[in-house]
Amino acid sequence: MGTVTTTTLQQPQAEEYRVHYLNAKYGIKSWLLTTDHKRIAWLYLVSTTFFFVIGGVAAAMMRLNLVSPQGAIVQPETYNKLFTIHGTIMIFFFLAPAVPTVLGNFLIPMMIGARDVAFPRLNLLSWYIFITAGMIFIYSVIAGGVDTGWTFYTPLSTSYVNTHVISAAMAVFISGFSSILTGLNFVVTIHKMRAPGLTWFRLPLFIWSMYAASLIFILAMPVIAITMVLVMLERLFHVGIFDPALGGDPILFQHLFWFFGHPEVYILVLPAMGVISELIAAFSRRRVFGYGFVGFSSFAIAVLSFLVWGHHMFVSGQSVYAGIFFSAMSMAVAIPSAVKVFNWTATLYKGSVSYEAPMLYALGFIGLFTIGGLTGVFLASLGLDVFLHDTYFVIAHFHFIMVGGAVMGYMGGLHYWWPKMTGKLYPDYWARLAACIIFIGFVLTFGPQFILGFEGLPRRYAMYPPNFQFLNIMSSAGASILAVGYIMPLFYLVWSLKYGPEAGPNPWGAKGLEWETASPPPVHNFDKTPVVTEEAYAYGAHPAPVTTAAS
Amino acid sequence: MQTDSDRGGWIFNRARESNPSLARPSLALRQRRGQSRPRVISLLLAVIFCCGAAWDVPAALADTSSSSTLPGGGLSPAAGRTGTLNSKRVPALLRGVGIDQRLNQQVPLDLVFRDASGKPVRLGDYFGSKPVILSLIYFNCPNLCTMEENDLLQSLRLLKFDVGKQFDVVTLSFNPHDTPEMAANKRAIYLGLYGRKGAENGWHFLTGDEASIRALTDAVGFHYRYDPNTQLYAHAVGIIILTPQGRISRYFYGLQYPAGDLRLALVQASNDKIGSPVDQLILYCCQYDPATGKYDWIVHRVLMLGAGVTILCLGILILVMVRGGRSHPQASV
Repeated sequence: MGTVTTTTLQQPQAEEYRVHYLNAKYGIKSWLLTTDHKRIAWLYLVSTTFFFVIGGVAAAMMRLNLVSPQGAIVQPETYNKLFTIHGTIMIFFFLAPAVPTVLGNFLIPMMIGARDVAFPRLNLLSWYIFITAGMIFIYSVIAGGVDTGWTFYTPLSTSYVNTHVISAAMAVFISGFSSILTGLNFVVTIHKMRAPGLTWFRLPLFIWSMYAASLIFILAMPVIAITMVLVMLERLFHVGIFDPALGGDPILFQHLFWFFGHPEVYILVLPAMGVISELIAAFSRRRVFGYGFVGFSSFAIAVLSFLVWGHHMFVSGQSVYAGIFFSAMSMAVAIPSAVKVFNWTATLYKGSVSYEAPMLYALGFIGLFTIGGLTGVFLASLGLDVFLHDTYFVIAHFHFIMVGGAVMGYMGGLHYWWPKMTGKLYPDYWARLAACIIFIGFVLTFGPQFILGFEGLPRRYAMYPPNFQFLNIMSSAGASILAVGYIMPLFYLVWSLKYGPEAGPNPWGAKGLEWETASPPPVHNFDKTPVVTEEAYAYGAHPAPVTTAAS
Repeated sequence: MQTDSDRGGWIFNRARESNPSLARPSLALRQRRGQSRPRVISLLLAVIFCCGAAWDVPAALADTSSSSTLPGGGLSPAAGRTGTLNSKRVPALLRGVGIDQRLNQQVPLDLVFRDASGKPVRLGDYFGSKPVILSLIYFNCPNLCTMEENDLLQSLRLLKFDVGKQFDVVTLSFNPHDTPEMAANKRAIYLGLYGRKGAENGWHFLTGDEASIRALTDAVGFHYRYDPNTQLYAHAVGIIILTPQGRISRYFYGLQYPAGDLRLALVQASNDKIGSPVDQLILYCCQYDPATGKYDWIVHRVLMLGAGVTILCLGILILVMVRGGRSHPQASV
C-alpha cells in the first residue's frame, strides 16, 4: 500500500486541476506530519492493512497446519505462537482500530460538517502511539514470538512461558493509549464540531455508533492497559498479583481481562454496525427504519457490554449467582442487537434496493452477524457453555461476529466511501465478485467449526483426532477461498487509484454531508460551512439536496 | 466478583498439581472448574491426622460449599472462624485441633527450652533484633511435619533474605519426649540443605518439657492432641511469624509458603527495618488477609476507584460540552 500514496500524488488530474487534500502537499513529510484527519485516516488504512496481512498470514498457516491431524507444517510450540500472533494482531492492531480510525477518522468530521476533528495534533499522536505499539509487537514476533494466546492468561503468561510476553504486553499497553486518545477526540468532536442545524437526531447513525464505541474506548482501554502493567510487574519483579505461587489470584486476571475484553468486542462491532446503517439506507433509498431505536440500541449495547464479562468465566470458578447474572445480561445484549437487525431488514422493505458491492457486504453482515449473535445466546446459557467452552464452537461464534460482522462492515464501508476518499471508482464487477467470494469463503471456513466444536474439538491445539479431519480440511479450504476474497480488493482498489474513472462528488446518489463536497474532498472538507435543515437519510421526500451553504 | 473466595480453593489445588507448567491454557482453565465457593472456605487449615488416616473431611464439614475441590484435607472452619475444630461432627480425636489466630499477642519469652546441643536456652535469647519464623512440629512425625519443614526450607531457599542475618527460624518440637539428639539430627540435615553461611546461628531446633511447650503453643493458638492408640499427634500445619519483640505478626497455613508473601511478612514483622523500598511500595498496595493468611492486592478496589474517577471525568466533560453547545459559529439559516 506504500505505493498508493505516491501513485496518487504523481497523478494530479491534468484536466480541470483542483486542489484537494491528496494533492495539496507532497512528500513523505507532508504525510507523516499531517494533522489532516483525512490523511491520518490514510496512515491508519495503510498500517492496519499491513497488520491485517500479518495476522492473516498467521491464520493461513494455522489453517494449513490443521489440514493434517498430526499438524501438517509446524511444531505445536510454533502453532501456539501463530494463534497468539493472529489473535493479538487482529484484535488490537486491526479490528479495534480499523473502522474507528480509518472510516471514523475520515468520516466523522465530514459527516458532521466540520473542518477536522477537535484535536488534530492529538489525532496524529494517536497514530504514532499506535505505530509504536505495533512495531513493539512486531519486534516480539521477530524476536521469537509469544505463545500465551491473545488473552495472556496468568499464571501461564507471568510465570511459565519463556517467550516474549513483556514486549507483547507492552505493545498492548501502549496501543490502549492510542485508542483512548482517539475515543476522546471523537467524543469531543461529535459534541463540539457539528455543523449548524445538525442536531443529535439528525446525525447519521454511523456517528451515533462511533460515539458509543468511543465511550467504550475511554472506559475499557485503561483496564487492559493497567492489567498489562500488572502482568509485566509480576513477570519481571515477581510481585504476586495473579500467580498463586506468589500469593496472587489468577481469577483476578480473568476478571480484569474480560472486563476490558468483552466491551472490546463491541468496540469492534459497533462502528461496523454504524457503517451498515449507512449502507442499508443508501442502497435501499430509504431512511433507516426506527432511527431512534437503532441509535439508542448502540448505547444500550455499550452499557450492557460492561456487564457481561463474566460469561467468559462460567467455568473459571465464579459463583453460581454471578454466573446467572452474567448469563442473563449476556442474553439481554441480544435485544439491542436484534433491534438493529430487524430495523435494517425493515428498512429494506419497500425500498428500492440495489446490489452494488457495498450493499452485498451489508447484506452479508446481516446474515453472518445474526448467526454469530444467535450462537452467542447459546454460549450465554450457563449449562450449554460448560459443554461448549473452549471448543471450536466458540471460535466459530466470535469469528462470525468479528469477521462476519466487523470485517464485513469495514469492507463494505471501505467500498462505499472509497470514491469519496480517492475520487476514483473501482470496477464494480470485481468488487461484487470479491464480496461474494468473501462470503462463501467465510461460511465455508467457520461453518464447519461450529460442528467441530459441538463434537468436542477443543480450541488452540496443533493436533486433533483423525475423525475431525474432514471438517478441518473443509475449513482450511474455505480459508483459502477467503484469502482470495481478501486479496482481490487489494489489487482492484490500488488499480482504481491510477486507472479508475472519476467518481464525482456523489457516485451513489447518497444522502449525507460527506457526499455534498467534492471527491476527494478539499483540505478543509467544505468550501462553506454547511447548514443542515433536514433529517438524516431524507431519501425520496426531497429529491434535491436541501442542505444549503451559509457564510 | 468472587476472586477472593476463589483464591483458597485454587491455591490448594495448585499445591496438588504435580507440574502446573505443563498445563496448557485451555486445560488449565478446565482444571479451575467448580471451585466456586464462599469466602469462608478460603481459611485453609490443612488439618490432617498425622497417622495418615485419610479423614474425608470436606463432604461432612464444608457445609457451606456446594462442591468440593479439597479432597482429603481442606476444611472450612465456618463457625466463628476460630480455626479450631469444635463441631460435633468432628471426630473426637480432631476436636480442639487447629490454629487460633492470636495476632499481636505477646509470646512468653521467659520459657526455657533445650537447644540441639542439650543446653538450656531462654526463648527470649532468639528475639530482640530480628523477626522470627516459628515452626511447630515434632521430630519423629511420620509425614506432615517433615513436609512442612521441607516446604519451609524450599521457601527459605527462594527468599533473598538469609536466615541469621535478616531473620531467625525457631523449629520447636511439641513432643516433650523428643530429645536434643533428634533435634541435632534435623538441624544437621536442614542446615546442610539450606547451605547458606550464618544459618548455624539463625536456625534453632528446640525441644522442651511439656509445660513450656504447652505455654508456648497456647500462646500462639496452636492446638494439637495426642492419640495414644497410634502414639502420634493430631495437629494443624502452619508457620508463625513473630516480631523481634515476640509478638505474633502473621500466620501461614498449610504447606507451601509463597516466598513473596513470606518476604513481605518478614518485612512487616521487622517493623520495616529490613527490606527494600520496593517492599514498602508493595506493602502499601497490599493488605494482609487474616482469613487466608495471605497478602491480597487491593487491585479491585484500586480499579473501582479508577473507574469511578474516569466515569466522573467523562461525565463532567460531556456535561460541560452539552451545556456549552457547539463551538461552530452559528450561521444564520
